[in-house]
Amino acid sequence: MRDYLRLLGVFFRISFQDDAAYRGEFWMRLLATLYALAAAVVGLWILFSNTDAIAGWNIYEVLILIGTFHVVGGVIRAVFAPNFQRITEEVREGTLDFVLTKPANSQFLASFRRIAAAAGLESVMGLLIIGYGISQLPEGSSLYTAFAFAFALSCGLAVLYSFWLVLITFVFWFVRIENVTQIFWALFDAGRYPLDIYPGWLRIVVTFIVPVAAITTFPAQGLAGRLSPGSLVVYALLAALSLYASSRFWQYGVRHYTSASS
Amino acid sequence: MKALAKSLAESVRALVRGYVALFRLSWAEMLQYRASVFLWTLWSLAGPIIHLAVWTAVIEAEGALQGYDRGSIVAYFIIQSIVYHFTGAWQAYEFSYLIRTGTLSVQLLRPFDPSHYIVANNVAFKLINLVWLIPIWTGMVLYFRPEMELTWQRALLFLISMSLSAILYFLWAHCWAMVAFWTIRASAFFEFTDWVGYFIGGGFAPIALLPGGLREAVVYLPPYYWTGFPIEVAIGAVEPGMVFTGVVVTSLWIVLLFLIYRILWRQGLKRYGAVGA
Repeated sequence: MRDYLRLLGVFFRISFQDDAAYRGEFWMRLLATLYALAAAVVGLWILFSNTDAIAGWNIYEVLILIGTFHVVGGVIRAVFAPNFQRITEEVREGTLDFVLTKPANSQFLASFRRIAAAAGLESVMGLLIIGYGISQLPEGSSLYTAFAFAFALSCGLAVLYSFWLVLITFVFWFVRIENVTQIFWALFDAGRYPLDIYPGWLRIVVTFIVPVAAITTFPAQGLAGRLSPGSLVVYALLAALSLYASSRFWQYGVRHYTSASS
Repeated sequence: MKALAKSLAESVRALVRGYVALFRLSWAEMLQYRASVFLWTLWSLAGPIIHLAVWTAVIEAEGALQGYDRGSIVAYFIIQSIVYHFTGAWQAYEFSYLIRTGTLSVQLLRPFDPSHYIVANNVAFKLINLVWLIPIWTGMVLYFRPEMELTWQRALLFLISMSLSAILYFLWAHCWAMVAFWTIRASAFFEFTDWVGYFIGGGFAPIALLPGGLREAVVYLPPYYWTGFPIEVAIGAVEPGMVFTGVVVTSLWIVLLFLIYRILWRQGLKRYGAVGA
């Protein structure tokens, strides 16, 4: 475990050094993050000048939801997406062999080697939005709701990580799978509003096929004090199950991977 | 006089021949990447569908807003997905690449203005995607049940105003593409204008729903004429007398942007040559 934490630190340092060579990129990221923030604020302003609740969520609850959406979006852009992209490149070029022969867990290496720290700015912004949203909620949030939020968010991230791991594993069979990420982003975008507003089939897709509900609506519900301890237990079980299943699938994929040359 | 007419006919023929060739080329390129092209169009439907759902939820709770009820807001966003498809233009993201890598020099050697290639590519993309978009749009209409009166006259006015919108937005993107002669960040500026236009032009919501009388302020600006205006013409939210005004305003913007594009292109080309590429 200590070794893996140390490895994670090394990966972070190397990625950071890589990024430091492209400082312009950092400023563009910052700008993109500010755009996203401004868009969220302007959108909310237009929406809530016409109503005072969307599917029963008031403006501050929706704000918390949008904050959560950006926290998660930042994690995806900083960790999941870059590693996914790297693996697809390596499978195409045949250099994945060097990764698989390293004396460390292959799933760990596949998931965390590349960390785009600048993209994490979006998560920071999301946390600030959440903080503001909480401060405006009528009754101060109790310790339990804060815990329910953090807990549901971690479970959601675990589910989402599993989802991306499955995507990565598919690269062994379908090299062009990266196109599928575009569909993911389209569906993920739906997570910026309470999922109750969507028609039934779309709700099913974003709850069960692409885990958008698990990462945005559920944690935000936790903050708004709408999550019972029972549902937290269910989330934890779901998260554990998805981690286990995706990990098995990865191992299966690695066993069937035949490199580029053979 | 006869000689002039003859040379004119000849150059028109050359232009048509050139376009046919460019169009074939673009078509073949699109077919090669059909999977990405398909997913890209699917992705572009996300925005309209999400906001269709959001505004439907708001209207179901509040009742009709500024004349928009459930049926007409659904119609608005379904037509928005059609308008977005036909008015798309993405050269601002690609042109700077042509300049940076010097590929533009190769295109300049051809006996054809590079802009023609961009037009052909744009039209080919819009046509090829209709193969799956028409069934998808039909499905959306059947599923979301928009309510609007469909008359021949209105359909015709919609086609005219949307065609003008497509030209307008294309020129807007084209001007920003030309800015790439001066800065490689041109596409970032373009993206910013797109972002502002999304809110003030009827992308996020019909401009009638903008708060604080903003509607009056944005109704003469270009973004409204490449998004909101053709949609409102289709669903009948524009008074008949104002349709003509809108068409005139769009045309004026088109003329202005075309002039700006020509100036930027001439000046930019001088600059491009001066770098020694």
